[in-house]
Amino acid sequence: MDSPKNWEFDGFLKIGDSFLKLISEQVFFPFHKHFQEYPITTALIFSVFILIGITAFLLLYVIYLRLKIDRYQNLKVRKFVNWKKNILPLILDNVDISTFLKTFLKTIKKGDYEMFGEFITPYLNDTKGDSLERMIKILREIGVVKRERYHLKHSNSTWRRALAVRRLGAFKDSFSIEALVKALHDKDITVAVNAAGALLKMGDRQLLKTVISVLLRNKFITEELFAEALLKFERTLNLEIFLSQEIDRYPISSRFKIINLILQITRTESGPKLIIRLRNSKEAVGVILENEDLAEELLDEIILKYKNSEFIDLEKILSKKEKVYPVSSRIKMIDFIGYIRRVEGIPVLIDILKKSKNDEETISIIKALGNLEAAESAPLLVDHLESEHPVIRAQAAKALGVFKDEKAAKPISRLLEDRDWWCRYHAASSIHQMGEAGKICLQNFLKITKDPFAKGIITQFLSKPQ
Amino acid sequence: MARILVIEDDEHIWNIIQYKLKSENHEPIWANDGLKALRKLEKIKLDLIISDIMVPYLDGLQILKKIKKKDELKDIPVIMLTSKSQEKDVLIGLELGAQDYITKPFSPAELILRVNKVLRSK
Repeated sequence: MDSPKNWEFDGFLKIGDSFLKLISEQVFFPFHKHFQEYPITTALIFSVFILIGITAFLLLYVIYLRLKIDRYQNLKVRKFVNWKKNILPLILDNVDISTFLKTFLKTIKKGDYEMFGEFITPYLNDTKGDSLERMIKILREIGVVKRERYHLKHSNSTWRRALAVRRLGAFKDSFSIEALVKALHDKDITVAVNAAGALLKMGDRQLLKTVISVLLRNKFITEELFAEALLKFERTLNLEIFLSQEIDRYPISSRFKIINLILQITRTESGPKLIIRLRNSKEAVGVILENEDLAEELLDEIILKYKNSEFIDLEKILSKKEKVYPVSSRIKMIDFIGYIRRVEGIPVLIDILKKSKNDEETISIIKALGNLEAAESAPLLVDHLESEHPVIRAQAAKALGVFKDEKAAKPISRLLEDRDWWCRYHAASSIHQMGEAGKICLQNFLKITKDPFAKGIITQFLSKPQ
Repeated sequence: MARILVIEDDEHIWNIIQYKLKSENHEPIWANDGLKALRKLEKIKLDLIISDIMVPYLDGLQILKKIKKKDELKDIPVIMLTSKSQEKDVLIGLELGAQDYITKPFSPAELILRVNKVLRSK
């Protein structure tokens, strides 16, 4: 005989069978019938029903999540009000720890420790002195600090690790320093940056050094993130002074990051005062060169002041392949090489002229080569007599005139019939400077040219004494 | 007992100040922005003002200027609350007539000492 349990089970099976039968007869059979008659319409209707079903499910899920969040928020508000009334006064007053813990353990359940960490963090950020020390001691006693360290070490969630790091920073717990230094090397950049901020909140100069050196080695940390982390340093006002003193300890590639950070700190308030303080640093020059406004303001002064220093090696800066500064800064440097007649700059200028695709830069180099009387650049300048840009043609002619190279007279003379007056003028002037040979060249050209403008300018120069 | 207006938009800081002032038998009044502070200044007779520099609508320095311009308010002592990056503003505040200043993060015990000192010297 069947036991009552088996009988119940059979009963369930029978009910299940009848239910499936009902569904197949009432739902699937008509659907199957319709599908054979109107396949597309039926499939469409079926898809619409599925879509409505999915949408309804998603909607219900969103509502469920919303309700869950609201419930948590309400609970949090209620608990925070309670803790503000019962726990905060105990923290702010000089109640001994054991009395405090008794009240604490009565008021707060173990499951609420996470929420308590959230409650206490803003107060940790706003206070210092005895109250802060007491809060940290309490957090240690109740195991909140340990819990955050556990999450930092074991959590797979980046978000949770980052939160743990932030909280440990807020707790200013000296026992967590080792874990935070480890977190600086975390594979996730959010955790690493937050760990840096957390360590810097402790305001220790030695930690600042460690953080900087680790962050600088992390290629994923941009200047903004670097700045964001370092600005958490407790003694922010001293940060730029510290960095400017320490800057020489870091590799050149990293110094730009630091100087940009210093700029970020100082730019908002006291302007480029720090740059002025850093003018004897070649990295400061690098930053200035990169920033067109600063270059406009400070570059002349810096170059003039340090023209003989090793660090203001203009040629090296100009020929850097890995770093191309804005054209305005490059032009300033080129002009300067020409202006102070720095002959060491000639090979670099020739090299840049061969490659330059910027008209302004080309003009600037040709002028500088003229000032430097760089006769070795003559063949290249002759090529530029053919340039489409009239100022380039005119400047090339002018520079060639400075060299007084008779061989250049013939190519320059082509410009005597140039459509641009300025080119004709400089062509005639240059050839005229070449002495007797130039005079003969102009006279010969006057005989053959039919261009009235060329005739005019040649006549004008031939009447001038040489 | 002194009636003290606290102009501070951060609720946590207000919670700390409020508790500490109450424990010293003072009566703290909260204004979380500059405009509310002005309204309370007009209505309530105060013994001291603790004002954050960065508060919405009207900052602490502007409030201080207004207080010092009005005959009926100019004698109320003011303690400025400031963050480190605003230390330059403290100088302006002191020039404008603030009695003292406290930098955030602050020690609640130190705050009370300063409040009592300013009230005694009034």
